[in-house]
Amino acid sequence: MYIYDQRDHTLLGERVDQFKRQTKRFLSGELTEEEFLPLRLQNGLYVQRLAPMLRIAVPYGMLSSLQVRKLAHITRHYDKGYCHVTTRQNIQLNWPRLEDVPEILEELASVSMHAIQTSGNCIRNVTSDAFAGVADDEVADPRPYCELVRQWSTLHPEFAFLPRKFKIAINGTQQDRVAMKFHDIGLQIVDHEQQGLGFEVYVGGGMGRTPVIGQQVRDFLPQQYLLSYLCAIVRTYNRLGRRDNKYKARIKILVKAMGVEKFRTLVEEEWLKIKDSYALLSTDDVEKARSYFTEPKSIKDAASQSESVKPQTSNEDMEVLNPAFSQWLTRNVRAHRNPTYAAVTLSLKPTGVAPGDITADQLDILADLAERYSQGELRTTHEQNVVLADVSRDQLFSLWIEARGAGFATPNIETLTDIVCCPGGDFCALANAKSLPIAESIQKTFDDMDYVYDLGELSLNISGCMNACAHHHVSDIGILGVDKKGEEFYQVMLGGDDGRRKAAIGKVLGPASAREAIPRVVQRILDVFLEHRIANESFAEVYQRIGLSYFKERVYG
Amino acid sequence: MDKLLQLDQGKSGWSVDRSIEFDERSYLSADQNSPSASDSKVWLFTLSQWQLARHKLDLTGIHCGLLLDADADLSDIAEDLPRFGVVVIDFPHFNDGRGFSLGAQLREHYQFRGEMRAAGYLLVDQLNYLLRCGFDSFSFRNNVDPETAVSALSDFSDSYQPSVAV
Ligand code: SF4
Repeated sequence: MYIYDQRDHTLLGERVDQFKRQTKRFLSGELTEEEFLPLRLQNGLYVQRLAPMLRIAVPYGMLSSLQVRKLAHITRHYDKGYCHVTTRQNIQLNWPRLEDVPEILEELASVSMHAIQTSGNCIRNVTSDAFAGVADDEVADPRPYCELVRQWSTLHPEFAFLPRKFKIAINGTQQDRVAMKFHDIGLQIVDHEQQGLGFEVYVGGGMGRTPVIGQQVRDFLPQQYLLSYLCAIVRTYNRLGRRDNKYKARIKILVKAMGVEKFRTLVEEEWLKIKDSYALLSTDDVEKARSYFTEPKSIKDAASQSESVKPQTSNEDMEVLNPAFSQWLTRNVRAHRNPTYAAVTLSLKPTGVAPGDITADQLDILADLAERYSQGELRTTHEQNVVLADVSRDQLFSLWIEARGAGFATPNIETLTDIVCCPGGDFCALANAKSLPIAESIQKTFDDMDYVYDLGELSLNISGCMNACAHHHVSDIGILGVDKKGEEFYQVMLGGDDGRRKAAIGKVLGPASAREAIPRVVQRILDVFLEHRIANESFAEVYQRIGLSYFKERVYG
Repeated sequence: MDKLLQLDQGKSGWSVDRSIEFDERSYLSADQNSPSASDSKVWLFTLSQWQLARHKLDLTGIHCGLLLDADADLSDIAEDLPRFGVVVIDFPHFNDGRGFSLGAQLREHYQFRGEMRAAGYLLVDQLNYLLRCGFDSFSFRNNVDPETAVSALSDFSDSYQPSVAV
């Protein structure tokens, strides 16, 4: 994982000092509320319904045990003993005190962490696949590029006051696992026969109140031009994006309004002027970034020795002995590029816990598990779980026992109850409705794991308002909180796809329903799915085949 | 007219001037007399004024400056840019970041080497970034504390990315 150098530390320290001064000026009245707003947002500080919220950056989801322990300490001492993993792989504190924030930032800085640009109208944290570097269908590890983009975009002098927020995702596998086409910029790594590694570039995707699928602006960008091309896109957007209406200010609106052809022409024009300037990446730059993400030596060595070492009790034996372990292996463990290793997803979605929430004690345990089982590193996922990416297969059973004790072993990954959910009306000032109780009622209703497994892969996402933080437009079943004359209602949509199969925006099923009705609505949707299912078809496949009407009839008929 | 706080970079560091009124660097407008070479003032043209004036007026020996709105398109006047000793870019509001890119392009694409001034409603917290986008003087329309402003120029001693600042 990337290790901070002197420059990172200097900049981070200076940023903390700067924010200390800014907070002081605000508290003394020298800065108005309006003037302080972009400054605090760009340091991750929101004002929420009940308290401030601090969003901590987790660059492309990577955390070390040391950092996780620090997070445990911070949630314990400055908050109420728990935090929340977001759908953009970041971590949120829900109850910090404004006066404490500079101190929290200082604590974070001591372990190479920060909250820079986690909100505000600037370039946000770059997201990527939680299985980066271990996935077997990977074209190239996206993390070195993510790190280059992180450095380029952090404290970028030109792009801190964009028309609106700006999100970039980089996908390194053949399957899109980062919802690339739903980002302001999505980059798909490709290995070009003649030109080597580079990117397909997509722009103008997004969720929110106007969901749009991103369009391709370039089919191949050689890797050395990564930063200059990003610069050309963001510069074009910064100059021409709308600023008169915040709901029309995202780049997707600009691209739609002028058409992708025109947008491409402008970007290419700008790019030609800067492509060979200081923004050009040298082979050294890329190699240096890559050097932080090489396969750990112990794993490499294990590969060569794998023939000779055999665990005393194999996972197969254990599976027979213990069906629960077997379930977990099926649902929560996936292949590692190295066959003697596996990538394990620890579920943060047991029934009754807000999806993505994690307590200080659990953080300590996580740090510990990562240290003992997975090279001292872990990753947050955009489905709000945690991944230990490098677990030796002969340790899976003992990891399972420990994870179970800590509440991390719910075997529900990528199933109905692995619900993606925003904090909603319980915390968020923008919410139209609560989202957490909906998640809980669904988990409670569908508590028969055999039934849930039988449904197969199924995503259900719940957002508390149109801002769509839980990406409800791109899940098999999406639920959106709406406000009807002051009352909380929920709109259901079906058929969204974040890009795993083919990017698609879900379609609204019909009029919104009351909170109590939602589990029943979901039940009916699942009934229709099971009735029409052929062999082992997934929900998405059945929906593709039969469309919306049967579902509509059953729910509203 | 409001007094401005103006920051200029001299040989001995940054100087602060509070005594300046905005029309010190006068606008040229239709009802004004033609500028004369004896005038030591900088004649500040808006883009449209310049487009009219450059063919009609004898500007030999006149100190010319250009006042740009944040959405200005530079391509039309690229050739004229070396004529200006100063380009002032207007920031209508600190949240409006277009001027950052306009400034960067002026330096980067048009190799403008004269004084480049950010003027308008600005936060001192933006000064370091503005500097790195190539601006080298600042006029605040809003109230700011000069000392805070000067110290904010060096909020950061290093940077992740190279920038256009010469
Ligand atoms: S979707 Fe709406 S309610 Fe949920 S976190 Fe985002 S802004 Fe808040």
